[in-house]
Amino acid sequence: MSQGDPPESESIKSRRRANPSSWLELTDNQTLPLVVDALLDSPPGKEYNKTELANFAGVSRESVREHIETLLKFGIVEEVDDTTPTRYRLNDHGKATVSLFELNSALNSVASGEKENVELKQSEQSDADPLLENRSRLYDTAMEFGDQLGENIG
Amino acid sequence: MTSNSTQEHLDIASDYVQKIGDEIAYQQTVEPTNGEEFEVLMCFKGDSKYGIYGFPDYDYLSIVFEYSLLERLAVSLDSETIENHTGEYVDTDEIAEVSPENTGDGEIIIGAEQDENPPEIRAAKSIVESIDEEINERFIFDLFQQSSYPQVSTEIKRTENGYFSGFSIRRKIFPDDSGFNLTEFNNSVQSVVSIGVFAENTVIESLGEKMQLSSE
Repeated sequence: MSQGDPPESESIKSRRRANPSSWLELTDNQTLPLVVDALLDSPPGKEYNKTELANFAGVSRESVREHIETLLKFGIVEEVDDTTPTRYRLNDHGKATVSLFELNSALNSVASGEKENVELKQSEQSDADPLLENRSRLYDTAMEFGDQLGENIG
Repeated sequence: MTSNSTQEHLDIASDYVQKIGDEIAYQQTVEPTNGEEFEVLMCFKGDSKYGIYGFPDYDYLSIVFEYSLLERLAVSLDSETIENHTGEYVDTDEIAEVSPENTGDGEIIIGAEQDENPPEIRAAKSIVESIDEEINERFIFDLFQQSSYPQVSTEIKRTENGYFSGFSIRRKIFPDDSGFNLTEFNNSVQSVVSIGVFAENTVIESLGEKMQLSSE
C-alpha cells in the first residue's frame, strides 16, 4: 500500500457506505436513531408534525425533514390522512416497527442481565402480539381477568 | 353558576373542538351533592367520547377520557343475574347509563346520579369483587403501566374494596397561557383519547366476547 492510500479498514467502510444495507441506512447517522427512539417512546397513536417530532426527538427540524422519507420508506412512520401540514405517526403494524420494538426490548432485557428470560419470552411470544413484551403480558393478564369475570357472571 | 373565565375557557375549547374536526355532544352543568358545581363539554373524536371539564376558580380545563367497567357491566347484565347477586329484581329495560359527577375536590366519579348505588351497579361490583385478588392486582398494575405516559395523568379506579372498576386518562390545558394554541389543544386531545382508547380496547377485548360489551 502506498502512502497516499487509505487504510484498508477505511476503504471497506467507504464501500459499505457507498452501498448501504437497510440497517446501515437507518443507523449510520447521528440524528435518525434519535428520531426513531422518540417514535418508539411515543404514546400509542401520537401524531406529530415535523417540528413537534424534532422537538420530541431533540433534533433540528431540518434533520426530521431529511429523514422522514427514510422512515416512510421503511414503514416506520405513516402519514396521517387529510392533514396540512402533513402529520406523522408511528406505524404500529409496520414490519420494521414491530422488529424495532422487539429488538429494543431484547437489548434492554439482555443489558439488565435477563438473557435467559428473553429467550423464554421470545419462544412464548412467537404467536402473540409482537409489538411489545409488556403489551403481550397485559393482554394475557386482561384475558385472565376477563375469564374470571365471565365465570362470576355465571 | 359558571364563572366567566370558566365559560370563556370552554368557549375557546368548544371552538377548537370543531376546528380539529371533533364533534360536541352537549355542555352540562353538574351539581354534585357535595362540592362545587362544574361544567362538562362532552365531545366525540370519531366514536370515542371525551369530556372537557371546567372548574370555577381554576385556570385550567381538564380533558378527560373515562371508562367505567361497573357501568358497562351494569347495562349488560340481565334481570336474573342482578337478582342473583343482590336479591333485588330490576327491569333491565329501564336501566340507563349514568352521568359523571364530581366529589368536589377535583376528582370526577361516575355513577352518583339519582340512586348512588342501584342494584345493577351493586351486582356489577359483586361480580368484579369475586375476581381473584392476585389477578386483579396484576391486571391493574399492567394496565396502569401500559397506559402511563408523561403527557397524561392515568388513574385506575377501584371499588371500595380495591377491585378494578375503570380508569381515567386526563390532561390539563391552560387556555390563558401564551403558548396555548390549536396545535397544543389537538395534541392534548389526541394524547388523552389515543391512550384512553388503547386502555379501553384492552378491557373490551378481554371481556367483549364473554359479555358482549362494545365500545360506543
